[in-house]
Amino acid sequence: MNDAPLPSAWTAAPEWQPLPPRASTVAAIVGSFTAIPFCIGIGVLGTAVLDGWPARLGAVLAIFVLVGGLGALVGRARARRTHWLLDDRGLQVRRGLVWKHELLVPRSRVQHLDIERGPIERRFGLATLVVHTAGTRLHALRQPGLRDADALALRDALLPEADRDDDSL
Amino acid sequence: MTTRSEGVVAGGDERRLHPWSWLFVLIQQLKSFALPLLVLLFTGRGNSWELWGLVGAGALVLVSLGQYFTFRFRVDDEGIVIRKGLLQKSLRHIPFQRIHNVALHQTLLHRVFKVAEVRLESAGGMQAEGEMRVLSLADAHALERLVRSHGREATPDVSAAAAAQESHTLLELPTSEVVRLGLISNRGMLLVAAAFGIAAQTAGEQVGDAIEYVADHAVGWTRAYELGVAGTVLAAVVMLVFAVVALRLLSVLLALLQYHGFVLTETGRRLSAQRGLLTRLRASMPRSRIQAWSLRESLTHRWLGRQGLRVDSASMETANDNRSLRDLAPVATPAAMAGLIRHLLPGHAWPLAQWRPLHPRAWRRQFAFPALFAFALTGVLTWLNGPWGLAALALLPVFALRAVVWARHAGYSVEGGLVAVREGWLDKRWRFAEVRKLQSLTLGQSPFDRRHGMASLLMDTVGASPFEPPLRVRYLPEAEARALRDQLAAAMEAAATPARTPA
Repeated sequence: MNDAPLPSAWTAAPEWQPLPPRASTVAAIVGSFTAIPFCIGIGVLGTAVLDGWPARLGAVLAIFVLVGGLGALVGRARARRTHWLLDDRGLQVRRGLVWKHELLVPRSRVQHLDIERGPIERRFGLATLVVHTAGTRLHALRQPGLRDADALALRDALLPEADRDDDSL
Repeated sequence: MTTRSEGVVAGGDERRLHPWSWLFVLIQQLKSFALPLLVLLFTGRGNSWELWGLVGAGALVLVSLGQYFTFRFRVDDEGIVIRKGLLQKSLRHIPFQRIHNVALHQTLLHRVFKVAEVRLESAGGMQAEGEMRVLSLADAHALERLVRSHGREATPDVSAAAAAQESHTLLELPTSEVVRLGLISNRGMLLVAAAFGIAAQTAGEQVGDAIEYVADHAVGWTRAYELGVAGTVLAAVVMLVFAVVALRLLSVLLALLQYHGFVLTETGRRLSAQRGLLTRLRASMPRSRIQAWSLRESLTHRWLGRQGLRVDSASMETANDNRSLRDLAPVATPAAMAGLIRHLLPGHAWPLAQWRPLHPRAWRRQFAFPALFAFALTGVLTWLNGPWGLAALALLPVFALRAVVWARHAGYSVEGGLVAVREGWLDKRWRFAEVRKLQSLTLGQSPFDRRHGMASLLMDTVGASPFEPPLRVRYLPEAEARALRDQLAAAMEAAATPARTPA
């Protein structure tokens, strides 16, 4: 938890910011959850097909290690590839492993902002920033794994001005 | 009638709906119950349920009467105040400026009673802001006029008010044009497909039997008359032509029902369109609420020398609702369409001149998947039928031609605050929006894009219809896509401050 720089460090000279290393850990934990439905499926199937509890438990465990491990690896890699950038245009997020995307939400198009913290993220001092726009396909840009302080600073930096004319609508 | 119309004025008293309104609420509620009830009655599966249906209908009468007696509305200087509810009361204030669309709906029954259903829509909401079922026609028009005169943000001076009241026709479809629209659109096909779906749901086996019966007879008939191969093919072609003609006739009939007497008018800054043979629809919205445009020219459009124009507006509901102003110009000649677009987008040139091409290898991207499909098909057919399966390879030149034509037509343009994308080969589409209406930009790269050094740019707008292609440039050279993104981002910021385009 000692890798938190001052939020002003990135507002002065905008450059692509990676997520903190602990975000990869959280992403790996969350990624491993993809195994849960598979484990339940194998558990149900196992009780019908396999004899004896050791075999059933073994099957569930094997699936958990296999699928969960894969999910964790993908989650970690995805978090490591994710970068964000706040400049005078607005917020940009670069993410994706195979299908790569660079999303740009201009400041003037931000409708409202949410900060969400799940139990795991809370434990690691992270937060999810949700930037809502009036758009259709990208009606909300949702970025998990931001440092708590960063998420708050981003929210404050992106808050729409009160006197803005909503001409785009 | 005139005394009633005086009721809807700013600062007037609180008013109820039309006295017959309970009847229409009841009908609307019955509609959602009637179909299941009828199905139960006809299939005879729910003998004891019929009674419950009657009880339900009785309850519905009470509910609709209750809705009539508890619904009150008032017009004040800033907007419309709707008060409703018996147990859970609600008071809703809708400012005039937020009302994007005033939609009037009149079925045949409405027209007999000289009333109309009025719906007030605002941006982004999934539901209508206010729904008045029903108002007398005079009241409805008075309300429409009120919204229209208040919709202008400029300070209302006498000349502006006078100009606002002056309306002129932008597009009018005579019957011949509506017939063309029917020939172009394939609504008949959709209807037949839907009918088959319902028939299969309710009486699955009978439908299957009927089809089998018809097919058997057709085969038996060809055998009985000893037509031979040529004769059979001829008979099949005749049948096909007959089916196509019948479907198109049905489409024309539907188009006449829906679009008879289509008139698009402009009153001040508001556009309104009305249409319909039996059910009359009337929708209106401020011109500035148009978010994105899509112009279409299918093969049949081109044969008849016509184009079709649709627009997205900010309310979510409009995408799947037929009473909004989505079909701005259902059918018009390309010249008339260009004139209309130029008129509605003042300061923008249309058709655009500076179209820029995509990546030189874009055609290969369009060719790759169909080609793989052709090879797979050839493989399967050869495996099943022997060497005859190789005939499927004949698809390859067709796909190649399609890809080349597609790539030659595809392109994008950023001109005078307008961003446009065009795609398609037989069915050509132009999708465009004002840069200031864009909401976000997404640069995307699939693995195939990366291999070719390409990228795509998706421009998100408000209320983008899921039935239209997205406003997206595909297969751009990566550097060009980035440059375009930066250019648009800068333009979006610059465009946010200036005033609206003058009326």
